[in-house]
Amino acid sequence: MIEIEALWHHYPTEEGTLRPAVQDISLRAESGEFIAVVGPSGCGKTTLLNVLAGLEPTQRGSVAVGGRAPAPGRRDVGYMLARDCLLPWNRAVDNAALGLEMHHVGRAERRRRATDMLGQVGLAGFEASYPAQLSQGMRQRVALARLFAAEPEFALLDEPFSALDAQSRVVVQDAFLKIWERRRSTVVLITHDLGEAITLADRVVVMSARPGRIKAVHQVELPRPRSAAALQADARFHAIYERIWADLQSEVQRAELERLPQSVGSEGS
Amino acid sequence: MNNASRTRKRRLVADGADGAGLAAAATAADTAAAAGSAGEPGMDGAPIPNPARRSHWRGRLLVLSLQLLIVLVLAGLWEWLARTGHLSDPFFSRPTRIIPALWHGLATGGLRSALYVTLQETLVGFLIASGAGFLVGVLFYQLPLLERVWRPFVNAANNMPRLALTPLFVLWFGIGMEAHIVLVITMVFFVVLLNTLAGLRTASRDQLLLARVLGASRTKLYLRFLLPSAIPSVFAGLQLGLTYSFMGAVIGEIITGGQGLGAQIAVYSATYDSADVFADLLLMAIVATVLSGVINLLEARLLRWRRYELRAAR
Repeated sequence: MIEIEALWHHYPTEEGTLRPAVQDISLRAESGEFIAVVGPSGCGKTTLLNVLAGLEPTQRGSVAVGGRAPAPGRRDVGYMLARDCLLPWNRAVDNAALGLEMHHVGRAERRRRATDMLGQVGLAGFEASYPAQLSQGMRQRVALARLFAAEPEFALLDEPFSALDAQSRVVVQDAFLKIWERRRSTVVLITHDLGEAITLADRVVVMSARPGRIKAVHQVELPRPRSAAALQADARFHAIYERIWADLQSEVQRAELERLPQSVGSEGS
Repeated sequence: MNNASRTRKRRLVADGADGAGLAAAATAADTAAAAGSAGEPGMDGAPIPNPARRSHWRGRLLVLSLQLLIVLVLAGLWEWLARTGHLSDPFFSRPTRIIPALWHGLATGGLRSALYVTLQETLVGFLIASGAGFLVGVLFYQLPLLERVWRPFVNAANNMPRLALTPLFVLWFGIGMEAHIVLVITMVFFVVLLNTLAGLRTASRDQLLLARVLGASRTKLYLRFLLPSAIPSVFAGLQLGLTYSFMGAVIGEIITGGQGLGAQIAVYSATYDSADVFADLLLMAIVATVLSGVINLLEARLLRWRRYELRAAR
């Protein structure tokens, strides 16, 4: 379970003042629940995730991941970014096994699990490939295998599919869904893509433009197992999309207007 | 990759896509792209002929024969100029005297023992200096305060012409190998230190973030993230360091005399024995090339993964 109570977070500006990034966020993810956080860029969603990952300190409010304070490097927490962050000097199997290696799992055992996981993301036969030999979609699937091979109880995902082209995104999302629906780790997914949020999540949290507050929370009543490709043709999917977009649209517009005079200082993703 | 595993993979991909034509097509396409670039068997199992391989060998042969041609033309020109009296023998000698001089020197052992002394100075100095330079480089990376305090001194030491220290070293260590080894160390240490430090700093922010969220221990952080990023820069430092150490040893010998190749050159030049001077120079060129080749091989072995990066970039 992930519990966030009245979380506030500020960043110092160059002028020496404090700029609020998120304001009064309270959110609870039950065990095995998949939560997606959507919002315009700069709304503090990445800040929220980095607090959960322990990469940013909890400045005000309280945060508990599995009953404990967040800290980087926890074995029960997995983290994934839009960039694959693969080590170019390692073959796919060793990249997928990297989390296990850091947790001191023996070489034979971690290779076995990494190979199995590469198979599950559709990369059987590519264990010995270096990242430079793989396409971007395949590299992100290796990163996915790295995440799941460590069997995290909590998965924190920051736009993990956003750097992919539309076609490979569907493939990687489906690979993700297939594994997650079996594992049911607790997931917080940050995304700017509402369609992706609805496709994957149980609940969608809409954040306001900066400073980020929770504007609305929507339940996604779509049956599982889901498939990203199949949902495109599902009328319920589009109905939910319309409903949430109504909330999100005004925030996106507000963020765009705010961005006009000062285009710098966007959220570091 | 064999045919069976590929068929298995194709089936797995088809299952995963749940009959979605779009998804299956995208996967098949990037699978084929990756297989093609790796030069592996195609989807039907038949090996794809690789035209690049044959032209690679042909190109190599062409370059080698052109290189041989250059050597022959230059040597022939030199020989002709010397025989026609345009180059005077005491100053320039000629190939047909230099090769026998080299042969004779190696056979009688005069050149061999000098080479042995110079190589010993070069390698002992190089190993001590590069080991120490590497360790101090890591230490500086780990302790930024230490690095900031020492940086100006290191820069000053690195920029000063260290050959000027030779007389001092002779004073301290006498005319012998020790003085030359110390000179070599001062030539190499700073290069390797600075290159190691620069190399460690090339580690990407993403990879360091990954190390942090994965909970990498200090040892793992160095072994799996930092040092692999540093290897290209460290090896650039080692290559340069090797050149410097050979140079330091030989010039040290020229200045102070003694037993090595540099000392021999000093004596032969003073006595207008140019054939032996050139024999020494030729030997040094050969030895330096071999040493540098050893480092290249080691580097290529450690950076096998980079071939694919370079190929992808082309």
